[in-house]
Amino acid sequence: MNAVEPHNTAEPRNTAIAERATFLLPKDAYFDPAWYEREQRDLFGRVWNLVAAECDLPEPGDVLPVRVGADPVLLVRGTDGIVRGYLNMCRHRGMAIACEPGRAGAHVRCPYHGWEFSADDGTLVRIPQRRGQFADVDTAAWSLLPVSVQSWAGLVFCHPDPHAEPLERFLGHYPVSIGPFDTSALTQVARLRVPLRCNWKLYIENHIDVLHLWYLHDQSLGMYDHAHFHHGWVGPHWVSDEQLRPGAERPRGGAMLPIAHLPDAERDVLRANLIFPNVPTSSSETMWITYQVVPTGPETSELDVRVFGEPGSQLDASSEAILLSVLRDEDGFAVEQIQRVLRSPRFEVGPLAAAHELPITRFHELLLERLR
Amino acid sequence: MDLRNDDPATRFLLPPAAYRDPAWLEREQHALFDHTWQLVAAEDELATPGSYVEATAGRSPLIVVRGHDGVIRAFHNFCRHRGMAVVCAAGRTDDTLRCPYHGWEFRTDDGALVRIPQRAGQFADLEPDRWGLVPAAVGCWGGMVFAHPDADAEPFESFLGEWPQHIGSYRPERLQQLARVRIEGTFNWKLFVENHIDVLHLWYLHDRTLADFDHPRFEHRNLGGHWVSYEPVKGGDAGRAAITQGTTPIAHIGERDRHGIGAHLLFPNMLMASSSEFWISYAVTPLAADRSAIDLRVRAEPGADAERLVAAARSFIDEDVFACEQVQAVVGAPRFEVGPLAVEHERPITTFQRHLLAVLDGTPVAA
Repeated sequence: MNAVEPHNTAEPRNTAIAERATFLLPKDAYFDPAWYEREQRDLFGRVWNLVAAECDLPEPGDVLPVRVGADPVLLVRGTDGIVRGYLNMCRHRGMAIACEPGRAGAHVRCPYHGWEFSADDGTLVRIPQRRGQFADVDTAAWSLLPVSVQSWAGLVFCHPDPHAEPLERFLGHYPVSIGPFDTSALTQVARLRVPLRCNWKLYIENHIDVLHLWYLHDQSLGMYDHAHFHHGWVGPHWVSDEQLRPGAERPRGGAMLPIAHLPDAERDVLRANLIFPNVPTSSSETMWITYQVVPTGPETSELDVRVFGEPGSQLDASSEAILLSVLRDEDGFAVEQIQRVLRSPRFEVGPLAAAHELPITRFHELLLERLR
Repeated sequence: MDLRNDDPATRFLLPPAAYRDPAWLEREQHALFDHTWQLVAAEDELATPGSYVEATAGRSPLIVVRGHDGVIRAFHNFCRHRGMAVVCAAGRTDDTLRCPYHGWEFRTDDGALVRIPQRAGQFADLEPDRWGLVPAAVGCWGGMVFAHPDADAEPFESFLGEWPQHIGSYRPERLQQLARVRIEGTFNWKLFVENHIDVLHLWYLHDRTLADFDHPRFEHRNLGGHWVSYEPVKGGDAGRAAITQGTTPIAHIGERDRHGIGAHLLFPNMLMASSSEFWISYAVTPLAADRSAIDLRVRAEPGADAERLVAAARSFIDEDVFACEQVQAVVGAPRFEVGPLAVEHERPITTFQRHLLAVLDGTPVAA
């Protein structure tokens, strides 16, 4: 296997605590609005969140409104080319500075009363009728409120705390544990959004469940050697890989071109990873994908799929169908079925597989640590 | 008989909140629907061993399946491993029901967990006896299958009580289910039940669709929370001839039923109606405090014109839905209140509400 993956072992190596696979969350974690609010505030409001790809705001002056937990955030690419973020809230009366993606230029202007802020640092640079109406306002005190924004691998992350730990430290060894991918050589070739009728955590738990590969995906992923599935934790993140079975045919990429810079050994590898808490990523010979599970309510979420590939690649209809058959028609189907029966008064989760479902226990511990 | 509109026997007992407040529905789900018999299938749908349907009783999703011994059983429809729905449509299986998520298999005939893939490596200390499908109770009558979420529920026969002896000469098990239609509407489920047992509206809301029947001769009675009724066709022999013209009458029913119709209720929400050519059930279940679904099933002689029978049933059901939606639309108004009820023709509403309140309060119905 690849030398860059010190964390992958045949046995699950958990960063300590969990030894016994147990389902730790109560069932109301999957439908109770109070749980949802708590997660928005204490989890998503206090962690690095994937919010965009660099290509979503390509030019200086581009703005993109996003949501980070309960906070509305405006991403702005400065005239210096750097993407920054601010609470999307005019300091005057609280209006959202921008409600749509667009190009603002050097200043972003609130449409309500015309206050203007610098795209490069959020300072208040213009107040219409200042002399008559706002004579004693100290403009230096009313800059846009900053949040932390940093990029990795063409992906833009945001943490609502302006003094958050650096993204690099949050990701830790994750970037060197997901194979020899040079994401700067890839381009985003497709973005798909799939609505899901399930709580976001069910999809994540499904993603880090090794056991279901044999059964739910018996056809679609049957060419991979699940018996030699390697997986492990890298800080709060999870990484895995498995090889094509000897003699099995490599899945066809259609109009997705093989990624040129991959070593041959990587071409038969399928990887599935998780950037905590809600960004599954995975890779094959032809694509590197992120499929963030965005919570949209206690019982709904949206799968935001970004497909990166060799420049010139296209996600043609048949490749898209193959991708969605796994992510939506199998994984999405299973977790929607759980969500559907979850509110039965007698519903409960039973015993988990000792090793193959242990990542679920670890994921629950990581969540509970943050929600405590 | 000296009946007054303010007699306690004919009074509207429920507050407007009962028809619009989600907390009321939550209370009904807990106290009533989680612990009562519900119509979940037709025996026709479970004709062969191994055939199953998916159904819901209250908030409990169920699998209703005919075992290889011919017995119909019900299990709660979630895998005991991670909670996936074991089945998500009707179908037919062999000796086991297999969860598609991780391949756990449960025996069709008793729900026992009989296979766990990778058991030695991943589930070594698991006791399979503890993780069978959770059973529910099943009862059959008239070709219809009923289920109760509690496996140790009161026997179905005692729930039915005398009701089967008061629905005339009908033997619905001798008919076939020819059609099933789902109708959704924006009204609280109780409005639809109360409308069904309201005799007075027949003259007005259904002045055209049920004009052939002799409402002054309408007979009805409560049997506990259940209710039965009958009314004959108007117009003597000519009326009798007109009503069966061009239809496929039910062969086994007697003279009286050939020339009349019935409307019945199994408490709390299983509405039924009978005519010379059909036996229909149209259970109404809550989707939300202000939204309900009606599960219309039409039973008739094999070969009868199913499309025409559905149209015949819907001619009055659609009028009922219309009325209930109109009441629901104003039930949230600050000054909404129900006025006096008809001393006889609306008395079943009071009886229904008394039974409902008794269940919600956990007390027996006052005599």
